[in-house]
Amino acid sequence: MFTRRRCLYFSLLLSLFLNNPVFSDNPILFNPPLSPRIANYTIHVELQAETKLLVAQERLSWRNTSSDKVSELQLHMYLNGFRNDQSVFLQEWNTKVKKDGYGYSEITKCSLPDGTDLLDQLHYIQPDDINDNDKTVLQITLPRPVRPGASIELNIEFQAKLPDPPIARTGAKGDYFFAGQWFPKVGVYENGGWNCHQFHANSEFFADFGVYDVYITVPASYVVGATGIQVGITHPSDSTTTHQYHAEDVHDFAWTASPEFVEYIDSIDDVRIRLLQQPAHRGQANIDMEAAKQAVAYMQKNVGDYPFPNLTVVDPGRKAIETGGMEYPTLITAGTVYGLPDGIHLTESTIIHEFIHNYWYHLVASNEFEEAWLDEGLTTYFEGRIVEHVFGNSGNMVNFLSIRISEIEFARSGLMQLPYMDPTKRNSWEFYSSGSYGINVYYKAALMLYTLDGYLGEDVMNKVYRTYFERWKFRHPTSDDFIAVVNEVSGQDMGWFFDQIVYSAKMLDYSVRSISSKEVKKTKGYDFTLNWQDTPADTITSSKQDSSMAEQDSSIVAENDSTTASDTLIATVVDTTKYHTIVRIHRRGDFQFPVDVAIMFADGDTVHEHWDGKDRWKIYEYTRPSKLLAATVDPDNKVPLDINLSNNSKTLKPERKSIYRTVSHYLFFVQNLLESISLTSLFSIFADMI
Amino acid sequence: MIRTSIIKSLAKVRRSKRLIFWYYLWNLGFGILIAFPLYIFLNDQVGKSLLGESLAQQFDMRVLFELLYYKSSMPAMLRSSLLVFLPMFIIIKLWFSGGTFSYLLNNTEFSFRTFINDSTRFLVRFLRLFIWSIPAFVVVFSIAIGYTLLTKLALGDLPDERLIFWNRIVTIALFFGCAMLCNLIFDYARMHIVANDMSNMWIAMWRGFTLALRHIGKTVSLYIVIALLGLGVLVIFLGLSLLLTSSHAVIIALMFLLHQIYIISRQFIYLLRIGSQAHLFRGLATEAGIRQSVYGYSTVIDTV
Ligand SMILES: [Zn+2]
Repeated sequence: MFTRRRCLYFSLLLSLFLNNPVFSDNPILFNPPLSPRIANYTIHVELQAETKLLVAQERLSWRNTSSDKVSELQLHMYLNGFRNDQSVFLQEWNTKVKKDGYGYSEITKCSLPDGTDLLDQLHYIQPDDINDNDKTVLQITLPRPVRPGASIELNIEFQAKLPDPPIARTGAKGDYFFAGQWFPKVGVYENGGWNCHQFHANSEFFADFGVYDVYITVPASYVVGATGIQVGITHPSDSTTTHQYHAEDVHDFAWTASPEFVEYIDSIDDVRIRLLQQPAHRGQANIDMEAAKQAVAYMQKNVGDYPFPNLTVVDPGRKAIETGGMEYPTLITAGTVYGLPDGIHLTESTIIHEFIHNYWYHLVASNEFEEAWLDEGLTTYFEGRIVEHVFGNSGNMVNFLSIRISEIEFARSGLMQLPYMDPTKRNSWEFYSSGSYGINVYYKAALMLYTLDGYLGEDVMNKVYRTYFERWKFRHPTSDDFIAVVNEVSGQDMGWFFDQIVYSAKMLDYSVRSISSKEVKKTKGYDFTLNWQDTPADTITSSKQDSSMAEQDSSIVAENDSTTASDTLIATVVDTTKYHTIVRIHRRGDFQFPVDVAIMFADGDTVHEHWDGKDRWKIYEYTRPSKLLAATVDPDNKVPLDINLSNNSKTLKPERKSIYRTVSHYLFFVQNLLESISLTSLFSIFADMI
Repeated sequence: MIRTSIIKSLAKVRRSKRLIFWYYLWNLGFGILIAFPLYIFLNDQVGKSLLGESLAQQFDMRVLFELLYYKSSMPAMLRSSLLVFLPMFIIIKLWFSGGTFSYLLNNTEFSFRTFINDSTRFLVRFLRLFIWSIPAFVVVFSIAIGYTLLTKLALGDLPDERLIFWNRIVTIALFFGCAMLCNLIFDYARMHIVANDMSNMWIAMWRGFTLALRHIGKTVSLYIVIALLGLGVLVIFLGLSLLLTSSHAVIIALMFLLHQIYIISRQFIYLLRIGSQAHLFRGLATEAGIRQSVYGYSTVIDTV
């Protein structure tokens, strides 16, 4: 497969040079097709750089794969999200747009191949709300319904203005252009209706697969990058160039153009990586390229084959970072700044993240409007894994000036801010806030998958991801489909787990509520088995028996019944010194999850317990010759979903060393501060730093 | 002259162990007062959990996140102790600076009585001088802002991130350079106040300004040499502290010791700077060809 793909790519390149400067015939990349190819586009677009306008002709071919007769089409007009400040997007986005900064998309002609004009049949609709200022969904009533299995072609002419500066992934700044969500794009027909939501601030996208042939005309000096592969180039005039791109089995098409791009080429396995870097970021090109290569190699090895021959990585222009950190089929955008210290791996993690999306947004194409976690959650989880693989366990995100933050810690710090306001699966625009959306679909979902690694084992989960990917690539799986794969591969019904986190918003928090370990005193008063016939010698014998019994560890576990504890106390009285240890574990949240408990004793012994975590509390009691040192819930950090780790353990004696160490460092910081700040002159604050 | 000033000052500061100890004691005392709430807090919260083990190893962000989110009283506690004790300490430091300048300017042995008397004598004047430093600071800050605006006007919105980055570095360097220059002007202004028993801060500032600028080569070189010395000590400290990373009790104790030695070194270098500047100040007076009068330095150095 790898070799075949590489040959294919080079033959395409060869044909490009041989055919230059005319358009080549569109090649066939995948035969048989990898996807159902429902929505197919041929677009000729011309960039008018001065006015930030795109003038385009689009031929849309849509195939009805349902069993319904479909009498209307619904199209996304995403750029209209930036059309006026009353659009749903800008109302939710809550940021001011510059006077000339708005963008739009307007269809000027729409007809069937036989010439039937459909312009009068276009109506903006609002499936999600009643805001009729929102023009992001267009309904086209068809003169004849499309029968099951049949296709329809529309010839559309449209004009679009890119927002300047870019808003939410798309737009223009100076001579840098990034066209994302730029063309009228058909929704997904499923379950007897159109799934075509308005453009929301918190939402990404959902579309059907197809073939794209796009002819992009730009000023001649511009370098272009786009989804798919470049198969032709022509020069319609002295001042313009048309770049022909072809993409198969993709569900979106994005492109960028700028005369500034510096191009770097490399490859990993069978994938050719083209990096379009800003000139100021030349010094970071190697870092960006390496990150992309690591991501490609890791995902191919651990999840499945990336079937496309290439990947384009775009470094956004200055003041256009809004277009950064975004994924499109075979094209991703990154984002870096000049002078970023080496230990801060934000650029690398962004590139890694966006490439992973090519698996969970592109190849496995879930509905990001309705269950974004299936994409963002899996992507964030794999980002953590790759970053750990590349940069190690500690400080894999930031390792700078002795501050170390790893991906998983970052995710946890996100979760802590708005824990459990929403279930993980929810329509993107219906979350409590944009913060809650981000925390749930990115961080909580990723932490959920880490928790599953701990519960089911990494091997099982690796098999889950591979199976899920192979089964659902080029299709639109839902949360239920993912859960079904988990159940199937693990051989367990994990519904109880997903019900608590994907379909409801329960808080997971287990704690060690209290611990104690006291020397067992000899009983005073009468023995509890009074025997009037007994001689004192018998009592001694009885005591010996007790003693020999107590040589073995005796532990008694009480669950929701504290009376047992006091009985045990009397039953285990011995001559030699013994300690009666009580550990109380508490489920503080309403999320029930089995947890391990480790109880450490002074003689070096550790008792491992496993609690199903269903009741509110659990008490462990031991009578042992050794005193308790500490008790901890989840000693191996297998449950990163636990919202509060600071209550997960308790020690009998304070850990003085760490206190002294930390306080001594803080004291030193304060002493230096005292040395630096003085009222001798205001300048001394800056001048007396050393 | 710079070399002599440093050597003479070094000898004098080395003889002033009591003064260094005095400075150190106050620094440590207030440091403990400010840091104490952290001790109480950690003892109470972290001390009895296994999180403490992570803290003993290294500065652990995981622990920090957990603490900041769930023990939100901690930052407030630390902030309030800082807000109460830091201003107190700054006033005390200002109070001591009169005695320090007076001692380092004169050829007398250190005595606490004279030190406290001189400190009290110059407190209000030094406070007034500080107030004068505020508008001066605003002027210098405006220079840095002005430079930024000027580059923006001349070159427009810089098109290249590299230019922006280096322009920012230049702006920061310019600001720190100006702050250093002003700081030493105020050092010499204080010397004028102490040596001439001046009460007009405007004149003292002007004298400090003219002295620093008329002999800019010497005053600035001296300042830079001392700053480099400070930097050298910092580098040595950082190098040594890299060796002390283990969580063993002995290493923790050694680290604490190293911290304290560094603080004492900083104080030593501060006194060395003032002492050297004081020596230079007197040297420049002699160089001006004016002999010491029977009235002491007062009228003599007045003309420098
Ligand atoms: Zn993402």
